[in-house]
Amino acid sequence: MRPEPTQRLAGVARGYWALQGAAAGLAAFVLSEVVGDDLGDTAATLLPLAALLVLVVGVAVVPALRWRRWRWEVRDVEVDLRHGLLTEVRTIVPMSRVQHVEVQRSLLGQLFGVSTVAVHTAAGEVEIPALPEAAAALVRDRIADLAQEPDDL
Amino acid sequence: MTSEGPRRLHPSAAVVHALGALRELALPLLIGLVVGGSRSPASAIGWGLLGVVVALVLGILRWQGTTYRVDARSLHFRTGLLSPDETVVPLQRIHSVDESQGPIQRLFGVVALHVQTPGGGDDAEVELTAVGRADAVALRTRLGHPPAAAGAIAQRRLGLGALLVAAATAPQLGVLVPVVGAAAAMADDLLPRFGEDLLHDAQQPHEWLVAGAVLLGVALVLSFAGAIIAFSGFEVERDDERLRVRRGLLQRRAARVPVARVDGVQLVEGLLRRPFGLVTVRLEVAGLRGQAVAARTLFPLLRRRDVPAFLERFVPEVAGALEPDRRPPARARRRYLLPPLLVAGAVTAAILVAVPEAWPLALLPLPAALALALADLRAAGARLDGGLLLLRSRRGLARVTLLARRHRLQSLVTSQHPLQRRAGLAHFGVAVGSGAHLRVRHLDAAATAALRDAL
Repeated sequence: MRPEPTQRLAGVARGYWALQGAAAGLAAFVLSEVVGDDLGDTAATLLPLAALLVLVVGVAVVPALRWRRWRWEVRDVEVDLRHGLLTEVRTIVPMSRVQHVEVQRSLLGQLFGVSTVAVHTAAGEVEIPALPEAAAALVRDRIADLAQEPDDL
Repeated sequence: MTSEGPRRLHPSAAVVHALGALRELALPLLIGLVVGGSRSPASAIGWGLLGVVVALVLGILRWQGTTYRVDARSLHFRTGLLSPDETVVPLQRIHSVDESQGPIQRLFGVVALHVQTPGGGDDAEVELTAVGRADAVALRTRLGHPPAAAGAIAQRRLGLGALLVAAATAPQLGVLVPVVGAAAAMADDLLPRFGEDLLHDAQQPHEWLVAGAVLLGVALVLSFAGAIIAFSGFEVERDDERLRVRRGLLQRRAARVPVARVDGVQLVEGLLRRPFGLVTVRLEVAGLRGQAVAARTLFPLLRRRDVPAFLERFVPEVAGALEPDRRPPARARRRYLLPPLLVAGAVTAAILVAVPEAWPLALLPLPAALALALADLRAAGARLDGGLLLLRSRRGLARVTLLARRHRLQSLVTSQHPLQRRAGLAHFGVAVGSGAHLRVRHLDAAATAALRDAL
């Protein structure tokens, strides 16, 4: 039986996602203020309230829950990921299928000192988001090393 | 054999090149035609003739400037009008030599030779556009790739009847409808009066129905013609380590796939084919990602009962049992049925409330949803046999069976939402190298985990 993945993401990921959630919530709030006025009184009160709810949930609930659920593990033969707020998704990528690995650092991510490791296969990519930068570099190098064994592709 | 001097292609190459040049000249010519034609028809004809003459001269010059020569080590290919390029391909690096025949080549009884090297991608490294048959055999022998007839272990052609059936049941319909719609919109812009008339006439609902039927008819004809063009003369051949597929009416296309690179096959049973027990076999190969569906076809039309024998002959590597042995458990049944029925119920209610006079339409959603959900439930399943994974599911309106080599799967994905967790169910999906994903819904969670761990 394959063990469950054990590694967590960086703790600051929560703050990072909260900030993302705040940005999205604020955008929704502004939009609802602008649009709501044109749609009548009920909409003008309800839409901003909904946007505020999105903001609160996006900042206070989602990041913490998401972080608690995220697990990853790089084994010699595969990359194993498990995540999902409500729906639990488990993704396994055999090491022999990895074509290349990259570390992505967004502007916001740099503020928090986190990077995303993207693992590319012929069929697309999977991501380990929000790892501390040093850890991300290690993971990238480890996967690149392990994926070295060329395959007949 | 000793080295010979450089040789020219068959003179009909000039015609092929001229047509190519004409294609490149088409846009400036069209502009000339429109500008000139608005003044007088004579000048339009003049422009047309000028284009043909220029193209012909270019074609002849190009034929004159193109030579090839084989010495003990390499193939030398020289082409170009002003600054000739010489390509040298070492004989050892030649991966395969393929023949193809376009309409011009067929007219003159010659062939085009494509010399492929590994890493050359889709385009041939060297393309000899017209070579006489005897020359082609001699050349291929000198290049170390004599004609393959002897090498083929298995070969199958698509007969005329099967081609017609394949075209009549072509699955591209869904894609074509918006295209025709867009064309109609464009025609509407170009012909405002026609558009207004149509709009005016189409006040009555049944007129809209007629317009819809016409669009559908055009889409059907286009789809039929498209399939005929794509699959005419379809031919698949297997030798020791390669599959070769040839097809096409106007342009003969040839594809070669080393069997070692085959991730698996997909059996696609479209809505119109399923009732007749007909199947399309597609090849899953990493290198073919993003290519047109036709390019990934291993065989356009087979009887379902012939599939095992076909796979056994052409790709024994992925031949195996075609029926899943892990199916959604009884408790998954209502999860297949309930959501589509709820959606259909909502649609029915919406129709009845919004447009009560269209009540006959409201009879459609529920039976359609029920049929779809039952088809979904019956299709779903998985099987693991040694090195071969089988997944069967519905994609769009087609039932799809994926037979994939276990060691060539790109990723495995299981997912489980809270309600599934309570019922002990989970989705199970895989991706293969071509980028295709297939997911089977609501399998037993323990069985899914076992499947995942076995892979």
